[in-house]
Amino acid sequence: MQSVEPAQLALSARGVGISFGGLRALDAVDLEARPGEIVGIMGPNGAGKTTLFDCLSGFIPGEGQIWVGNQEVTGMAPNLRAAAGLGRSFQDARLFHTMTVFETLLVASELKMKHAGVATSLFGLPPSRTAESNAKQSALQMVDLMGLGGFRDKLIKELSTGTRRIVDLACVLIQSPSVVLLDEPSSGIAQREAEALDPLLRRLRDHLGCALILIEHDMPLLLGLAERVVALETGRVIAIGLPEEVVRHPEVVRSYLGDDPEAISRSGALAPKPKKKRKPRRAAEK
Amino acid sequence: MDLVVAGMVIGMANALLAMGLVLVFMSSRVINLAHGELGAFAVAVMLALTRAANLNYWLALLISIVSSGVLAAIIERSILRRLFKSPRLILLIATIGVAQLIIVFRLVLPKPAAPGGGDESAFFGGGNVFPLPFTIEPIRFGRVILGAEHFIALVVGPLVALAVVLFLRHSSYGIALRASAQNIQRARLLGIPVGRVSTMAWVIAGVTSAIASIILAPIIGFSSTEAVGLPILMRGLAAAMAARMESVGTAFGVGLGLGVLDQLVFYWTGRSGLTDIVVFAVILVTLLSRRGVIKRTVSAEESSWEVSEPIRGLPIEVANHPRWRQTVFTGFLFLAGLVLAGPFALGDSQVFFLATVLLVSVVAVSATVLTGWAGQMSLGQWALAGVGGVFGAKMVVSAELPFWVAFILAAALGGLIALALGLPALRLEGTALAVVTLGFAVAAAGWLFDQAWFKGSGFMLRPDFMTTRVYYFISLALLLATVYATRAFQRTRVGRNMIAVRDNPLQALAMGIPVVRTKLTAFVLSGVLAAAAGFLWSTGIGLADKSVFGPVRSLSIISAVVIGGLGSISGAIIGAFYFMGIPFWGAKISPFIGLLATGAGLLLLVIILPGGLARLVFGGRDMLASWITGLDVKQKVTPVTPGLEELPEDLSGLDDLPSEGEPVTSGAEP
Repeated sequence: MQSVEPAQLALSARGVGISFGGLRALDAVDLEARPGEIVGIMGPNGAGKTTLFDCLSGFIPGEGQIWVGNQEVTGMAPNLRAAAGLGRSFQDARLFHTMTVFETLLVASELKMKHAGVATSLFGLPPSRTAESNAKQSALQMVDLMGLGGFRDKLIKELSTGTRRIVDLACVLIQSPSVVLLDEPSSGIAQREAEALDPLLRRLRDHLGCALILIEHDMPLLLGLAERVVALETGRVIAIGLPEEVVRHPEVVRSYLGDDPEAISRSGALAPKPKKKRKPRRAAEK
Repeated sequence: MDLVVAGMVIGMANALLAMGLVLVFMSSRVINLAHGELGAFAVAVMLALTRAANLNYWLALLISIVSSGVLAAIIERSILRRLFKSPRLILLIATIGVAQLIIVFRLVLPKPAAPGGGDESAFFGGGNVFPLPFTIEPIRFGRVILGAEHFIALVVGPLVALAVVLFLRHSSYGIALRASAQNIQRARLLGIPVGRVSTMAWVIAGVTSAIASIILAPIIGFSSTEAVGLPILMRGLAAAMAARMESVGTAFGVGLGLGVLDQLVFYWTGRSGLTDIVVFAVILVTLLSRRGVIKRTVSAEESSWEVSEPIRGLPIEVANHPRWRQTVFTGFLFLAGLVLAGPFALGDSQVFFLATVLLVSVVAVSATVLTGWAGQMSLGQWALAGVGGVFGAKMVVSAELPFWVAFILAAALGGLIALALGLPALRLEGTALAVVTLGFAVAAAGWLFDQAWFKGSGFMLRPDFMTTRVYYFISLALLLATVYATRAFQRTRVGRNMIAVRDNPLQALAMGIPVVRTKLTAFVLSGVLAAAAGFLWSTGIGLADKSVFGPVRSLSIISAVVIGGLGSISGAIIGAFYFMGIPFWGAKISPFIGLLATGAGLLLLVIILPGGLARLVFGGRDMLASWITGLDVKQKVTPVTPGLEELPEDLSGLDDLPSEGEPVTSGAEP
């Protein structure tokens, strides 16, 4: 085997598979990522991208073995995988809509608050108080860093999708995982904001030193960020390698990209983009 | 065989009830807790017309059935439809309010003089009181005696069921109803008049309920003052659940079967309580084993759990303003003085009453923790209180344990039973869980509180030191401790996690929150609080049996919490005072004022002021604060985005955030 030793990988998954009834949604997918690496996942709708994330983070009990760092997390509950260093964002970035931004960040500090147990918080004992005030401080810092100052006491449901996305990333930062799974960070936000995602995600990666695995339909964003791209179709890996190799792979072209060069190169915001899953800006509605 | 026939007569009530429940669920996606009351209303109209107004039987029958159908239509149009987009819990609780309102309507109808000139709340039973279209010589069949009323039930019941089934299957309204039950958005887009179809379903449900009640009233009896028994409702509900809330025919069949079972169990054991447990088991098993419509629709709709906007604190500048702090301090002193001096100024009965209100407040707060924060719909809080009351009484009276030891044991057992109740809750959500907890409340009163190993003598000793004043202060202490602990909870990790789990369990899991443990913690905490209050409750009244801890009050408590404002501690307490206080102090004005206040008040609040009374109170606080401090209290909602495009510059500071230098004490750093 020419792959790196599991111990040096931030994430390694072997033979991930799952069937829903008769449908083989994922079939023997291998995926690995080194610390600091950005891996892109592409594929048409129904290829199994989100299902793969669900298997990796434990929301769906799939086949195969999964390691985070050198810890095997196969069969573990999602919250234990999170504790092992696996962070994840969701496509809709719904977060907790009756909470304020600040409270959401506190919730994200969960993994750093093991000392604040039921009994100590019930009686307001010192371990709980210290953990709480520490969490509050780092949440405040994060609010400042991400420019969320004006939104600190806003409810999540009052925010636009773009802002929720930032809060979501801030939560990931607070969690400080060693592997981050991002499910379509550009969905539901405007073109210009999506362009800003590239440097933001790089910074996030640099800061955490984590492996970043992202699903993305925005080809320019994906190809610009990813050091390695995995193309999925109907639950199988059809191509894997450097971005420029994968986009030229005949099967990828046939199944997903089509032969329109517009699809993979960034063009003016108003140009028609045949294969892109971008919704018009909904952010300004609320 | 004879018993089977008798059981089928009884089962007809369950069966027709189940059908009505399914119909209403199909149209409004809610379990109509007022369904039985629709029928009871028709019976009351019938009685009034035939006995008080001496009308012809058939004419009276027609008027009663029509009035019940019209009432159902009004309810659907004026209440349910307005609330269609509300969370299911609110809708469910609105039907409790509807039920209370119908009871009031029923009570103001002229009542026939009871035979023998007894008081007007007499219990009517048997064909000699209730009108029948014809009478026959009773026929003896094995161990049962069948009269005209039984034959009517056996013939008319199935005919009604058949008519409803045929209607659903073949009429265009029936098909439209089935379509909108499957997917209401799609049905609407296809041009189905969803509203009219829904009203139609309610009318049919109302008419079915009326016919069922009228043919069954001579057999199972009818009381003009009491609510239609929850145990019967649970039997209907179990049948409806077994039919997955979608098949009217199955619901009818299972309902009949449960009636037969009831009769057999009663014959063998001489008690009907055992059936309550069976019913509870049927509900639990069908819900846990099948992924039926309930589960699907409920989880899809419940995901947007949003009772109302949470109450926000004052902005920091206002809260720290010296004049405002002074006001708060004065207000606090005033309140404290009132609470402490009250028992010395009031008479014994008033003080005792206040103590019970404090205890109900504790139970209401326990419901807030479980339902408001953790999002676990519970319609069985009072039964959890009963666990503490009944078992605690046994510990004191039979086991002769010291009072405080028994208190702690009772509270602990409450937590334990709540934990057991929480286990199915891990797989159920929303309405399904509400049904399970209501089933628990009914089964607890019907069975658990009757078991020799659980219940003592049914009486509770009041320790010598427990004068009414002491009782008041102990209740007060329990409430204060509850408020202190739950507030500490709400502001810190575990309480926050509960709300996170309620809002978005998947996201919570992804952040490493142990969702299962968080949910169970809510159950245990709420069980402990409720049982502690229940223990003191039975100490106060000296009784500890199922008559004290019946299931109806569980429903009242959750409506009180909603009236007060679901989700806030003060809301729970305000709700408890409203619910307990109005009947107590208003009884002189009208005996119905309690029902009217909780019934109509509930509906008005739910429709006009979804935040509950707490919203009014806090609105008042905000106005007062801005008047005193002269500052603007409203937090401006600026609907803007800090566009992602502006961020990269701001993020330069990110590199300066050293992860190891973060002031985090735990060793969880990678």
